[in-house]
Amino acid sequence: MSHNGEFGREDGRATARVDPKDLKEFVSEKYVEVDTSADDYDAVGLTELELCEQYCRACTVSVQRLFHVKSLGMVCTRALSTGNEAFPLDLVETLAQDDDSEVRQIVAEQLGVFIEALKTARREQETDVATGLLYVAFLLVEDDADGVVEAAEVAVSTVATVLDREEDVELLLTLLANLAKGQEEEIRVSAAKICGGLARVVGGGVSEQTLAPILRTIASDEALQAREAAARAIVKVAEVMDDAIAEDALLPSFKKLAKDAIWSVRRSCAENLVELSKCFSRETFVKVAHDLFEPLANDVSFQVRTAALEKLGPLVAELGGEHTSAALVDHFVSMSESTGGNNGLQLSCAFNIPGVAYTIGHARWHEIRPAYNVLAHSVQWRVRRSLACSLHEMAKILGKETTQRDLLPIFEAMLSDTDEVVVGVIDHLAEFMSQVAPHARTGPLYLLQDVGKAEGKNVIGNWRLRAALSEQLGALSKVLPEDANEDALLPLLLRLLKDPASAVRAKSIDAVGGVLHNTAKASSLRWRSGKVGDVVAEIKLMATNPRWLDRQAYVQMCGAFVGVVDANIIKEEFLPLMLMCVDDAVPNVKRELARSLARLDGDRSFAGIPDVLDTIRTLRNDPDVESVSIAKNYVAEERSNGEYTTGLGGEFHATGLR
Amino acid sequence: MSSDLDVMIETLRRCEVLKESEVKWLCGKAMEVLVEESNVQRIDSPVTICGDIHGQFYDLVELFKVGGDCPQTNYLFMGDFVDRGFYSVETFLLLLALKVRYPDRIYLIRGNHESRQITQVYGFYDECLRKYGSVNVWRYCTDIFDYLSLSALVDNRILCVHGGLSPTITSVDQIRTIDRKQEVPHDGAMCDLLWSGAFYTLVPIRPHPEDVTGWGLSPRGAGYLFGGDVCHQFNRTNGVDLIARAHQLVMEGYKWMFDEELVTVWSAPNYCYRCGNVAAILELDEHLEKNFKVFEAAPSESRGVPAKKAAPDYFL
Repeated sequence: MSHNGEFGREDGRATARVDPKDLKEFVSEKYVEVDTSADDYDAVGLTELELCEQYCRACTVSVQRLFHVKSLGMVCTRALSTGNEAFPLDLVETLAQDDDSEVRQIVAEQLGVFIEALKTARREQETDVATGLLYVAFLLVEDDADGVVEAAEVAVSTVATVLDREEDVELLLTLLANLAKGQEEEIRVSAAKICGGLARVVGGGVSEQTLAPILRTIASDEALQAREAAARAIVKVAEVMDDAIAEDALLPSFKKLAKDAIWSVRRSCAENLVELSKCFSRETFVKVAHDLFEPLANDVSFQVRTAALEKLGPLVAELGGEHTSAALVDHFVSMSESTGGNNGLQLSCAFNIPGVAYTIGHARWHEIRPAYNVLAHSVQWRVRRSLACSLHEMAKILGKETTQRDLLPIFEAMLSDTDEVVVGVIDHLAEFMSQVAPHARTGPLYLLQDVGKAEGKNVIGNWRLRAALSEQLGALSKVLPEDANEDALLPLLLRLLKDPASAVRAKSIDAVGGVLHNTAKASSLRWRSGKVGDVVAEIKLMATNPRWLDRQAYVQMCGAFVGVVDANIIKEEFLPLMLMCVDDAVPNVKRELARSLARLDGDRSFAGIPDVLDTIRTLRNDPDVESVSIAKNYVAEERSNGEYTTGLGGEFHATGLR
Repeated sequence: MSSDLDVMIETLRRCEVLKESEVKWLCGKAMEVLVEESNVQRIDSPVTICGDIHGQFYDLVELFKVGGDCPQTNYLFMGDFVDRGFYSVETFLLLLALKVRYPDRIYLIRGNHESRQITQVYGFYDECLRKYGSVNVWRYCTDIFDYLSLSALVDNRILCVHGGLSPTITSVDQIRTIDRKQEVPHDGAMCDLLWSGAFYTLVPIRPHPEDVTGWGLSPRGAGYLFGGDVCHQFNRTNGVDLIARAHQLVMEGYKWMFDEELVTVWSAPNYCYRCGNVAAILELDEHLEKNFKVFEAAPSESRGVPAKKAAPDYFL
């Protein structure tokens, strides 16, 4: 069953309204007495494979049988690597002809696993079994069910990897040639697909001699689906062939398909334009790309034009800046203005614009800048989101001056956009800010206050967004001036430390040390006075707060300070209150204290402090602290690294386990 | 043992199933822990109280993100771990593994779905067959269900039970005398604790449902419906301030009733992946201050399809 197969509400938000009928069904769920049963075969005296075979052949409960058919690959792998059992070719052949298409599909999908099992086993029987599996794969290629066919097409290439004998390869190519001459067009489509998949396995020589001629024939097939498939396969086969030979053998067919009378065939070519770069010499590719792109981008069919334009970004990246003409860039810019149809072009333009900007470089930014602005104001949030996610990369490409002039206003607008857009910016907030000129970094900070704010009492809201923000604060405090940290970041952090969602508090706890350190460094005076002093005082109040969550957060923070905040500051400012928590009435506070002390214990700056040793001793005998084994592990690891430890942590043990 | 368990917990947190032999081992250990617990398990605050989960594994992960991981936070789950959702096996086994690893940090009590009969109709049985190819795991789990406690009492002030009250039970001590180690019966005190409901409907009707008093028949075919007077009387007799229970879907995640003498907590957001409701947990701090946290279903990106990478946001 698919994870995404859940009904409705794909985005997980409470937008769906309930059908009262549904609600009634779920609410009035009743007491029912039943007695169903499943098959339960006696396993005694049977090998795992024999038992599995029995279920595969005879089980009458569908879900149970499917489980065993799915397990067959794994079971064979184990049986072949450890025992003397023969590969159950007969069973596989039988299942490949089962009435249940789901069973046939599982068999097709597992052919690869069988092949791997055979490779590992390396036995005499291998080659005969491989031939047998080859027949099974070709049998399933001609199945009625699409899923079976698709899996079987892939399986043919996998089976081909174990065909060592020349006559087996001959057999494979004969079976393939027969498919290519099949009566039904679906069969010929499969033949084309298999050619594409096989190319890598059989290599350049066989591709040239056998696959290329087959594809040339299918490229002139009367069925349009076959020609579409040929276009897709040509680039795969040409890729493994010698550049010059491929140019003679397959390029004419591809060019012809690009001018096919049927739009879907031309679209197929448009979709594979970029792949041509791997098939031919660079010179040929550059010429062909230009020759083919222009007519496809101006095709009478909307679908073909769209397919060509959607590939333009990657095509530009392949061509490189010097071969990207102003005309190609114009085509790219035109995508941003597309408002008709399904609007996929705008999204594609937004998706690819960092790649295009990188390829053509800062000097040609003015050519795509108008497009960037149009996209930034798109009515589609997905378009704006894509730009938001890549904003930091654009900043690196464009440099500080251009970033400030052209990107900063867009950045500010994005921070007040919908959550999906905001999170894209927030995820790389510090990275982006570091690309802005220092004096311009403080301006937008006020906008962070409202990021991810929940509406309504008790409601958690978008905690992921707030957690992402917390995660950025440490790095952000490094690139901001100290007074900006004091005025904007620290108050924000204090609020996030008391967030209703635990995951946000956790990220904030991790961030506090870094932000304080980047603001006040190791100066005791700074930690005790001014705005930093106020924040420190407020944090210390948490240690004695009547709410256990605050006390727990305090001891966790002290642990997170280790290695981040100057050791003397920790000792002077935070340690005394931290150690007081050893008498806390709530076990969860003491447990976190033990974990934090383990972090202290692993740092030589805190070696031999009598109060710390006393506290560790007390916790060791505290029945509430069940999991100090964490301290034990930590200390053991440190010791093996030759680090100094108090040695006491190592005696911690798990008393809570029964 | 704790390191084996930690590996199992990590496996389950990724929503991957344990081996059948591991399930057998885990259930054996769990039985040793659960058999020691009382029918009315005493629990100290602070503790976070949760309602139905119903195999919605990724929403349980969301719940832990909101409420804090176990054992950082103490939890009481009021039953209905399985059925309906796609991941009953992973959901129940994760909670059970946490229970074995941290017996004093998490408590599990029995819901009406922790039953051999009900799981054969509402999904858990089929899920076990689909994921293990045999009924063994279902047997191990349903055997453990018989050992789950029936209720919990937080600081002697808040009684927690899956369904509700029973006309045959007037005192908490009477719950203590039940022989719970059996399949959920069709009637009687044990059945009622798991099946009963408070008088209310999802859509307000007149007369206001909370005006309904006394006992009534339950439309579910097991247990009873009870009114505010019954609840008030029970709480006064037993010196209890509040009954916390689950069992009935509430669209807002939690619902106060009977002059705040009873609260329903529902922790399966978008129940059955289609009801559109929000979920809630009830955090009780060490002073029994109540704090509800209302959350939504996990977004589809976090319902990770393993092995498949998330689509990139841009091309560079």
